[in-house]
Amino acid sequence: MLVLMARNLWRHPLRNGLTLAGIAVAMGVMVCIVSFGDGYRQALRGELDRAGVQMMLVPLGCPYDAAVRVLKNQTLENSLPASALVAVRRDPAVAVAAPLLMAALPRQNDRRTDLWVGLDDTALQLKPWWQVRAGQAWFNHAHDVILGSDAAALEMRVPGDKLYSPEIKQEFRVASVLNRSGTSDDSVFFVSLATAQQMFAQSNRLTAIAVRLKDPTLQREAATRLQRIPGAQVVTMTEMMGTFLNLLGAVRTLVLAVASIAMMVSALTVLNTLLAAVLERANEFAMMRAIGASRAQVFGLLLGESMALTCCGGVAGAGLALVAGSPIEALAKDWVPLTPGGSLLSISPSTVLPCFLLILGVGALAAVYPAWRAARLPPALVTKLG
Amino acid sequence: MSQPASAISAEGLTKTFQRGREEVVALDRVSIEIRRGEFVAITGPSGAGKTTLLSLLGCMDTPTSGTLRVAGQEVQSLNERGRTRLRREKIGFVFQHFGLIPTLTVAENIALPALFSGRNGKTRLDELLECVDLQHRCHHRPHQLSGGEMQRVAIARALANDPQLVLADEPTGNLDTKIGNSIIGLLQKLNRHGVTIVVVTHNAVLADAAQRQIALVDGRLK
Amino acid sequence: MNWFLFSTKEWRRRPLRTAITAAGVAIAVAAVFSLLMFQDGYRQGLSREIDRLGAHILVVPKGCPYDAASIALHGANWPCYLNSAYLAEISRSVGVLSAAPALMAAFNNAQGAATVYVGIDDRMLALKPGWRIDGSFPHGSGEILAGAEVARRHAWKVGGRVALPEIPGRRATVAGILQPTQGADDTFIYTRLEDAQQWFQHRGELTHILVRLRDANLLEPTVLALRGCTAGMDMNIVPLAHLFHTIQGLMNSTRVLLGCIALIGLLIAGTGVSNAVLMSVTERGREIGILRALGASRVQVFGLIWLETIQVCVAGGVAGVLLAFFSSHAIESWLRTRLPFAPTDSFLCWSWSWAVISVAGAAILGVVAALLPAARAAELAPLEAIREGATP
Repeated sequence: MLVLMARNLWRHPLRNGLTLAGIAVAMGVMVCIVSFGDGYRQALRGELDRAGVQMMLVPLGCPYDAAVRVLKNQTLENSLPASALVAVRRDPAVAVAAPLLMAALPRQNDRRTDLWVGLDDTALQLKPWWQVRAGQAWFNHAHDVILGSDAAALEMRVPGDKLYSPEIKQEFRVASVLNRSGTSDDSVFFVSLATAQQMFAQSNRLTAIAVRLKDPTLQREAATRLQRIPGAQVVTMTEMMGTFLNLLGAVRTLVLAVASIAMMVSALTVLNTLLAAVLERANEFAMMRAIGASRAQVFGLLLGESMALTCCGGVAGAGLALVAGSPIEALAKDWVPLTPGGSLLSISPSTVLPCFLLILGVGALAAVYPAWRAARLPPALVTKLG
Repeated sequence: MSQPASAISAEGLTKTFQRGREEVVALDRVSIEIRRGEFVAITGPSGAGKTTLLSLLGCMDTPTSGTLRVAGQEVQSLNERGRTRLRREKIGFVFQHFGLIPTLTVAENIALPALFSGRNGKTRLDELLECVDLQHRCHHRPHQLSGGEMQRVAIARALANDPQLVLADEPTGNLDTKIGNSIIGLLQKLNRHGVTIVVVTHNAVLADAAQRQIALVDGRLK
Repeated sequence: MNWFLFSTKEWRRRPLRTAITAAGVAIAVAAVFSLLMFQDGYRQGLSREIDRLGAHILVVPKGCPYDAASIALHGANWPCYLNSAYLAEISRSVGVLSAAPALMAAFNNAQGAATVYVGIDDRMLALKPGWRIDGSFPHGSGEILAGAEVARRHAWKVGGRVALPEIPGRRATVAGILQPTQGADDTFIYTRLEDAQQWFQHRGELTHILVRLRDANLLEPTVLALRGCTAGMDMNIVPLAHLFHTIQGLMNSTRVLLGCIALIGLLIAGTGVSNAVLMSVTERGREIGILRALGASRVQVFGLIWLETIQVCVAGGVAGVLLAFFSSHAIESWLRTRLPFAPTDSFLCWSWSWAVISVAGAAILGVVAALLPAARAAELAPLEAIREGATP
């Protein structure tokens, strides 16, 4: 039976090939979309958990935007007053409050922008991935700089070297180079907080304060209290995740809607192909009925062919998704708010299988009418068409 | 330009083609001459090569070797475009299975050749309909016509571009005797008006109605 | 009889197949056209809505400014409040023409319908030059200004004494009724600020302040000044022009993504078209041979198939455009539940240029999809016409 089906499909390679292509593309799109959300959610949770931070104090403006930028090591428009740090540290629920000042330094000659981050030693408690590859562990002198692994590679410096910044007109000493952490810290130039504030004429200003609570369950009360600090607002990590995932969810729904339109169109293609097959092979089906095949069997034959076609299309689509996944991911990284280091697209059996079943369902649905038509052909047709 | 006396002049026409691994000789050095205004029937058993000969004469295929002049034009060395032009301007074809376009009406079917040659199909329509006696059916579609009526439409269509030569492949093959006879009568009428007619046929009555018969057996003239 | 007519006749042969092919194109084009309608409509709707606020800057409590703007525009309950004392400082700030305070409160009844009260003073009038009031602005305590929609719903008249919805036991006099503004204002009930503060138990507090500048070009420096003052430390200063651009930006990225998917849908429709025409050519082998035998040139046959395909695609395109237009209302309602920020106005607006472009796109699809089948058809030899046996 299967051989018969396969041979029938092979009769019209171009026609069935085109139909298959349509199905494959629809399937590929679906798989990509479904896989995308999952990967993102997992990676996001992972990155936030690693930092051990429950909330952040950011300047006024959109808090989520600010939090994202801090996590991605991008600069902010506004800044916090240093008095906010004092107020935060006074709060009984706070275990660690790590301030940072971020500034972007455009390099006229090299046409790139370096990110400089000023930290104090509380930051070490919140950066478990901070491992020094070579050199000393912290800033000993005012103009020590610690380079992320990519930054060091770019500048071609090792610990002990000098680093001159023409824009600041200051010479720095490379105190150490960090191990590759896979986070955005890899391309950052770290200096002490005081140095950063002086460098960028931001004395008494901060970009953000990362907060770890003594007891994470008391988050809400702590947030309400800290919200009252003038010039700053609080964003909790759970809120932030919630907002992003909502946004992502909204986008995903929209995209799924468009993708299902694509699927509907490919279903129509299958319908057309099958209808033509029924017309063309009317003789054949009538002959089968004449020699004793039941209506159900003829129905089943055509349905089976459709399933075989959609099956192949589905497999091809999954393959297409695997192949096209990486370039699509590269594109997506640009405008997804938080792109954690890991892979965004997690194409796994759990994402492919539902799409596959959906496509099979669609193929079956499209085949119902043509198969029914085929089954209803009267056996007497054989003599007429001869 | 003076009109040549012969409509068709074929010399040593040979047509071979591949079927699987064997080479089949459909026509073997056939030479015929048909003058303008003749009514010729090509007869012979099935597989004798009659249809092949007709397709060569109708410029639908090229001979493997030999020379062929149709309506004063050398055919064997002509390219596809040239043959198409010849089919359009000088030859009218009538097929065994009528060959009408089912989505078009009688009038539209007859107007087809004019469409291909860029002429206005309406100018000769009435004349053609009258010729085949189908004025009352001109807005009907083929499925509404009888076999005989369909064949008459096919003949009218063949005449649409005022061809010198009408070739017909088994024109009565799908018709019963009575209707077939009416078609034969129509062909004779056309011939009386000066149209050169070549038919391929099994029908003895039609063959007798022609002025001359050419018999083919196994790809050769008998 | 001409080529155009000839090709339309072809539709009669297998009407179901033609219909299915056209339907595929229609659905894909509907998706593309909807996106195009959305692009223009959203921007216009958003811009109009923000304009209607009448302010250049929105001052809101700390927290997400997008949420705050949405609440200010559409009416809902606020998570936190501002201190009225800051109003003076803001009004004094350089560049500020008028700072109008507001205290908003929303109540949802059992069915989920909202009643929104906004406590204002006459500084608001400076921000709403488009307001036409039947009657007068509330002057004394216990007077309200009703939006056109609210007044209609409760059958209020100017001067009437009415029971305030959702506030049990409270009555007020309708001092004035707003003429329709086509915006959210029609659904609000405006009261005096002091009344609102008293009734909703938020004395000395505000939900938001609408600021109008002397000169719109001085937005940046004014925002900086506002952020720098003491009041600025406890509030979010939201320049509405920035807000507009950020939301637009978000929409744009989403739109690009959706556009790609819609185009993929169109591509799939294209394969369907190609498929259908190919089948048609295959079935018509003998007929095409006849046409060639009758004198049609290869180019003419190619052109015929091409023309047929383009016609079907254009028909599908037109159907798709109409489908999108007539379902725009349904699509809009659905989108409203999905989009984080949706203008109250209709944001799917018809546009002749986009409609034409969509149909043209369908035509181009036909042009490309027909190439292979048309080439196949042109290759068919006239011999097909007299070949014995069934068509392959």
